[in-house]
Amino acid sequence: MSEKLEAMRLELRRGILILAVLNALKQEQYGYSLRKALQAVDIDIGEGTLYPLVRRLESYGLLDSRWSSEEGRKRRYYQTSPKGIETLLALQTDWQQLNKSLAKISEANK
Amino acid sequence: MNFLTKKSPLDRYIADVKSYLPAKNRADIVEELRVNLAEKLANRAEDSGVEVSEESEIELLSEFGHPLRLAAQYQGEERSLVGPTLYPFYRMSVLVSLVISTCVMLSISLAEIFFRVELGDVSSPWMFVNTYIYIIGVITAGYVLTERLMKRHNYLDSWEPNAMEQPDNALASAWGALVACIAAITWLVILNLLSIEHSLETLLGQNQNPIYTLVFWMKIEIVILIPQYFYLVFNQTWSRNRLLLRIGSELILSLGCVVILFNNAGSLGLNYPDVPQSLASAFYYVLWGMIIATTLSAISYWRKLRLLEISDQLPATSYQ
Repeated sequence: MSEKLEAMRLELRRGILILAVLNALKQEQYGYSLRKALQAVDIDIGEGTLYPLVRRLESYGLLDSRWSSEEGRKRRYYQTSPKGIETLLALQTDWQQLNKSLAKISEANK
Repeated sequence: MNFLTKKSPLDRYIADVKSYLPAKNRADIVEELRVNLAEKLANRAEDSGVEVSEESEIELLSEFGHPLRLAAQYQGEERSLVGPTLYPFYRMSVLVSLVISTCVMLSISLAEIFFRVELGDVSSPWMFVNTYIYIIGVITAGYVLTERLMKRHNYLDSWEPNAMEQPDNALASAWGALVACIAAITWLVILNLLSIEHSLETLLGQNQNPIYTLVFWMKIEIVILIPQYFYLVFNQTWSRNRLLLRIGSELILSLGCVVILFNNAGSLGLNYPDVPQSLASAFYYVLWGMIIATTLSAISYWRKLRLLEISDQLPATSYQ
């Protein structure tokens, strides 16, 4: 059962991760700092999942990116684009609506 | 170009991931991955007070998992039949097979036109269409099955960074090469005992004897292989040209088997009436087996070449 539960957890988290990343990248960050920011709010996502996800969101036009060399270190910075903000708002509305619906179901089946 | 520089596990991993990525944005993705991995290693070293080592690289790479899986994550969109993990290989296999089969069918058609050899309906347009459908169907089924098996047996989960090949590995030992050289010469002598006509007709399978055609193609392959083995006795490192030659010699036999399948595979029983029908039918499976084996071997050499070239181009990672 634990394997199945883990698979279900992963599936549940997959969609929410996009929300989390778009939210966290309202402020410009690079890959490693983004991971730390997510970890700080108890969203523990492996880099092997996070970096490709960020790339995909960028390819959809939801993130802007640039290379920068600071303190002698080359980094690629990301920030949620205007289209990304628009998408984030729409997804957040859906998420809140889903939460309300879930709460109603729970209440009705108590 | 000779590939002699030893690479760290991290650089081998990056080269491996790069080899699986589609050309678009490949360099940029790899550069970013390298920067992120190096930074993480440097931070870990700073926290623990222990310098970055091969062991710490291997530990980090274990967390990232199989290079194929990471590269697949960058491919993104789910595909219903063949998933992103194997899709680049699938696409390459279909393309290579279609190119080879087109070359074979075109050369057969040209032989029909210029050498006036009778080939029945082999060169009809429907033959092309049927062949393409057949090839795509077989390859797709093979990949779908492979992917399901990989998932069932958790193939990618059992990956360990230590298993990554060092790109500068030698081809073989000098003694191994010498034995291979002698074996190839002996095999050529044995094949020469069979008296066959070395003509274009035999080569294109127009002689009604598939064994002769197969022997002719084998001889060609061996003649190309012998100098390679001989050179190996004195120099056991890879070079781009020698890898290409190796891929070419593997594909030659594969091509020969395709020619036989298209032309005279069915006439084995006519030439050898004493051979039971079941054995004659098994000849088809032998040919398919040889096509698959030589193609897989060519793919493995092609992959080695790609990895070696990528490793050669990539700079060593710095942790500063």
